Formats: sequence, structure tokens, C-alpha cells
Amino acid sequence: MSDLLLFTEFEELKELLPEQTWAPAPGEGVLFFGPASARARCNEVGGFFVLTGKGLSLSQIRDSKVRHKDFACYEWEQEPKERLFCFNLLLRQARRRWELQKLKSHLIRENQELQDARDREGLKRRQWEEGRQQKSLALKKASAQLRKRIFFLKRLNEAMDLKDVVAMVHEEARKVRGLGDALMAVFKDHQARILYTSGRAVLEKRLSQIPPLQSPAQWRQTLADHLNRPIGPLIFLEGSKSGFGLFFEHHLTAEALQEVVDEWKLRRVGLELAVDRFQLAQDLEEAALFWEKTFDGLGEPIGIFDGDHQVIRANQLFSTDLMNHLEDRLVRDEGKTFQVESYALQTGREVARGAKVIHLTDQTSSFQLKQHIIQTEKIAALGQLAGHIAHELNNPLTGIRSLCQLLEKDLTLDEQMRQDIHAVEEATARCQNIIRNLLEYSKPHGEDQRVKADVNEVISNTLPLLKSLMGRHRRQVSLSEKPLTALVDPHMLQQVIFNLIANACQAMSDGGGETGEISVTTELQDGKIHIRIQDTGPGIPAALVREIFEPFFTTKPVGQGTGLGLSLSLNIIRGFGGEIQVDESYQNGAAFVITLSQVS
Amino acid sequence: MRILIVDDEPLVRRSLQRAAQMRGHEVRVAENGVVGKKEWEAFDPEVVFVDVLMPEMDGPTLLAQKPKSSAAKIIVISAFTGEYDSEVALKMGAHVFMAKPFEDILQVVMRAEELSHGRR
Repeated sequence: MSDLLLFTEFEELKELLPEQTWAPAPGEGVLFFGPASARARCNEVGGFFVLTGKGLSLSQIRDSKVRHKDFACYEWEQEPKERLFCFNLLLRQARRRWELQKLKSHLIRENQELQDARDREGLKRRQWEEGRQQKSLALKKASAQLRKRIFFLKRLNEAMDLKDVVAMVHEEARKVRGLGDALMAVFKDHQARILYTSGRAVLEKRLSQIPPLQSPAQWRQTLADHLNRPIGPLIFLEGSKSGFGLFFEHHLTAEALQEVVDEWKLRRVGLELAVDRFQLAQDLEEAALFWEKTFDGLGEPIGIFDGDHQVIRANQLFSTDLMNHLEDRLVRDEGKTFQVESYALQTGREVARGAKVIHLTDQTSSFQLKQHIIQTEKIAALGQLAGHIAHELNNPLTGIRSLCQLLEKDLTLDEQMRQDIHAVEEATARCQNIIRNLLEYSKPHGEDQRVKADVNEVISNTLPLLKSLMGRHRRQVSLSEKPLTALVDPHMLQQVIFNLIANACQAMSDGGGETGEISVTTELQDGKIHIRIQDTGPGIPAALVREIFEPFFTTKPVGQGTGLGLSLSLNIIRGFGGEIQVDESYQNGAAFVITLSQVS
Repeated sequence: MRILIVDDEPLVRRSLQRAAQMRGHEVRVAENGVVGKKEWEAFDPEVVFVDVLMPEMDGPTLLAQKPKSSAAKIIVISAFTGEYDSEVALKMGAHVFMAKPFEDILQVVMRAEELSHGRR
């Protein structure tokens, strides 16, 4: 602690007490000796003021003690000895006072500090208490929400399909005041389905067009249009992978809205997983269905067998009938011919060990082609043979017939015998007819016989020859006005037309003898000449349409037809590069269409 | 009218002969070209029916060796229409080609009569 210092402006006093140390300036902790005029200056700096002077008046002293409460009054004109004594006394008193004052201020300061510290501590404590309460409330709320969230996510796991998911979301939404119906949009391949609740049921609608996700207003309009009801303001939550969108109708305040949005954002991951799961399941199902349909839709029978020859899978065409004949190389089924091919099934799975795929390739057309070639060769050989036989037979037949003709003229024969001879003559004529046909059939149709001829003209020339054949039947001829030029042998073509018309007449006469109608039409279609000959006879049974063109096929009674007419006709027309077909759609009889290429 | 028939088929010879005889003609027959050639020389026919394919000597050979003095009208008859038609027959020196089988034997004889009387 610093000592009390002395200060005065009285130089006499400094000289009077030379052993004293005087402070250079007034201040606190200073005993200030000065006249009354210096008092204010001393008090200002907190020093102890001692009114000092020579011959101080009583009123001055009273003023000093009562009014100004100065520390002391010092009359320094007294005896030097007395003066020193007083001074020392003053000094001691001042020092004590100074000590006390310092002690007091120290105590006050300490007390104040203590008080301050206590105040600060109290504030901290209050704040901490408050914080603790708030924290605990938030914690409780958060943990309740977490529980709900976990419960919801657990339930999502139990959902069987997307509709369940929507129902659960809807149920959750109804728990929040101000939140309305939940709707879910599922996007896939630029299409959207809307799942929405109606009562307890979850219904589904397809959206014809998807509004932009950034536009809730458009969504609101679209949903209202599709669900036929007004839709309130919407909360929209988009799945991060844009696989789905979740909508809630609501009438929430901005603050509550944020809370709901935050909560559902937290649930979004779980929802996404659930939606993905069902989307994936659906995709798988669709893919499986797609493959199944593809497999079933294959145009040839395919079956997959395990190592024990049991069917694992087979497509629709793979009938049980076929399965019984798999040992063979060729299998016939319903008019088709299949070649059996098999190869190992490679899937890398245990199940597939020893499994094989049996694939039946449709060989019908190539098989038919082969058959056709064989048939053609057969016919060619037959033709050659027929030529020889015909020639050998023709000679004796000519003789027989001629002799019969002569015998019939013999007037000595009785009627019975003449009829017998006539019968022989007729039979011989039929034999000759057969042979003529055979020869015609076996005759090669070289191109050199073909000339450019007007088909209409050929037909026109043929028709008069048919008069006796046509008998009572009506004739309807409609020839194209344009000339129809084809590369044909006119005589042969004439023979074909004659043949077809003769067949028609015969068919109509057989069918009850009523008057029928034959129509002959020609027209040009896409560069092809069509000659159509149709009758009103009984027609050709569908089952026989193919067979009628086979050589030696006939429905006529024995002796009336050789079965070569149509076969021969087809041969001739094919020789011209054309075709004869039966128009199976014609119902009123038989219709044959000859097709030839128009040449310029 | 004298008619010679050269054909290896007996029934053809026979029927043609009968038909011709019915029409009042004198007929001789031969079963092949060799016999035919002899008859042709001996009989001097006005009309000769000749088959094409015959044993010993066939029709074309016979026609090539016919008597130079003969003015007979020649009718080639053949069942083998594939190779022999009227054009070929005419080149061979025949006047008419007739395909066997005949539709009417009397018509054949009448055709021969027409030919002999200068109508073709």
C-alpha cells in the first residue's frame, strides 16, 4: 500500500518542514495543505484537504469544519515546536484515515465483484434451465415422429402392391389436421398412372398426358379432369428418381405446410424403395409375360425338355400329338411337315442340366416342293410311257372301231347285234379319246409353239364350237374391250377353254338337268390377263379343290372322263407361264380363273 | 378304183379294205414295205395308203422306192402324230396325211376318192 503523500503550494511550509517529502502534484492519497481557494481543486482529485493559513478566523474554521468538512485546519503561525507537533498529529490522523479509506474502498470493490459474479451465475443458470426444458420438448416430439416414421416404413414393407402403399399414405395423411386425400402418380415409359382413394378402395386411372412436374396448377387441373371432382391445393413430393410423385390435398398454414413437407421428405426414401419394389415386380411380370407370349407366338412348335425327357415348357403349337413322334426325323401334323431339331439348353443353372430344346422346323413348303418335283418327274416318265403305249394301242383300236363302223352298215345283221356292235364302237372311241389325251399330256410344250395372240379372239373363235355342247345352258360372255395379248399356242389355249367349258356343261347337266348359265369373262388386272369361266352347277367340294388338278383324278362315272382334262389344262397353261386356279370364294357353282401375263 | 393298203396292223388293213370294198373299190393289201413295193408294181393302184412305221421296210423307204411310172395318189396314215404330220408327209412325196385313229372309216375312203378325182 502506498504511503500518504504531502502537497502544498505554500513555499514557506515546504521550507519550514525541510525533512518532509512533498508530492509534485495534488491527487488521491495526498494530504493537501492549502488556502480555502484551493479546496475545490483538492476535492476534485480526492485528496485530504487541510485548510492552512496564518491567523485563521473563527468563522473560517467553523466554515471549514461544519460546511466543508475539511480534514483539518492548520494554523501555521504558531510556535515552531507546536507547529511541528500539530503537523505530525495531522499526518498520523490523515495516514490512519487514508488507510481506512483505502481498506473501505477495497472492501466495497470486493463486495461489488462478488455481487456481480453471483448475478452472472444466476443468469447462466436460468438460461440453462430454460434451454434444458426446450430441448427435452423437442426431443420428445422428434422421437415421437421418429417412432411414427419407423412404424410407417415398417408397414410399407408389408404392402402387397402399390395400392396398399397408397392406402397407407392416405391413412397417414388423414392423421394430420389440415391434410386431405393422398394421390400417387407413377411414371413409366412416358406414361403415368394415378392411384387415388375412393372410400376404402384405391382406384387407378391412366393419364393421357403428363403435366410438367413444376406446375402444380396444371396437375390440379389434370387430376380434377381425370377424377371428376374438384381438387384442393396440392402438396407435391417428387421421387428423386422421378419414378413417382406424391400429392396431398391440404389447407394448411405456411408453417404447418413446411412441417408436413419436411416430414414426408424424410419418408420419401422409404416410399421410393416400396414403389421401386412394385415397379420392378411389375416389370419382371411384364417381361415374363412378354417372353411367354413371344414363345407362344413363334410360328413353329418349340418345346423345352429336362434331362428326363419331361416337358419344362412348350409353346402352343407344340401339341401332344407331335410329342409322341419326336423320335422321327420328320413329323406330320395337321397337313404340315416338320423336321425335328434339338439342341442343348444353356442357362448355366442346375435345373437346365441335360435339358434340351426341341425345335420343329416347318418343312411343309420345301417338302411339298420336293413332292411336286417327284410328281413332275413321275408324270414326265408316265408321259413317255403313255406315248409308247398310246401308239401301240392306237393301231388296233383304229381297226376295231373302223370294222365296227363297217359292220353297223351291214344290213344283214339284226337290230340286237347292230346295237352290240355300236356299243363296241363307242367303247373304242372312248379308248381313243383317252389315248389322245394321254398323247397330248405327254407331248412336250416347247416355247416355239407360242405366238402372240389375242386371248379375246381365241375365246371368240372357240365359242361357236361349243354350241352342241352347251345344249340348253345359257351363255354369258363378257370380254374385255382392250386386246389382251399373251404368248400362247392359240390351239392349246382353245383346248383348255373348251375343256373348262365342257366340264362346266357336264357339271350343270349332272346336277339335276336344269338350265344353267356359263359365264366367260376376261379382264386385265395389274398386267395380268384373267380368264374367268364360271358355272351355276354344284361346284367343287372344298376338299377336292387341290385334287382336281391331279392326273387321273375324276368324279365322273367310269368311262366318262379320263381324269386328265384339268391336269392337262393346267400343264398347258403352266407351259405358257400362267396358272389355273379355282375361285373358292364363288358360291354359286364352280369358277376357274386362268391367269396369263400380258405381253406388249 | 384300185386301192393299195400298206400297213402292218391287220385290223387297220382289214377295216380299210372292207370299207373300200363296200364303196365298190378293188383293194389289195400288204403288211410291210417289201410286200407293198411288189403289189404296187403288180397292181398299179390309183390310191395307196401307207403306214409309216412298219417292219422290214417302213413307209418313207417305200415311198422313196415306188415305181417311177406310178401316178397313184399317196395317203400317209400314222398313229405316231408326234413326228409325222402333213408337212413331213408331203415332203416324203405323199399327197395327204391322215392321223390314226380314224373317226369314221368311210370318211377316210371318201377322202381317198376325192383325192383320186383331182379334188384336194
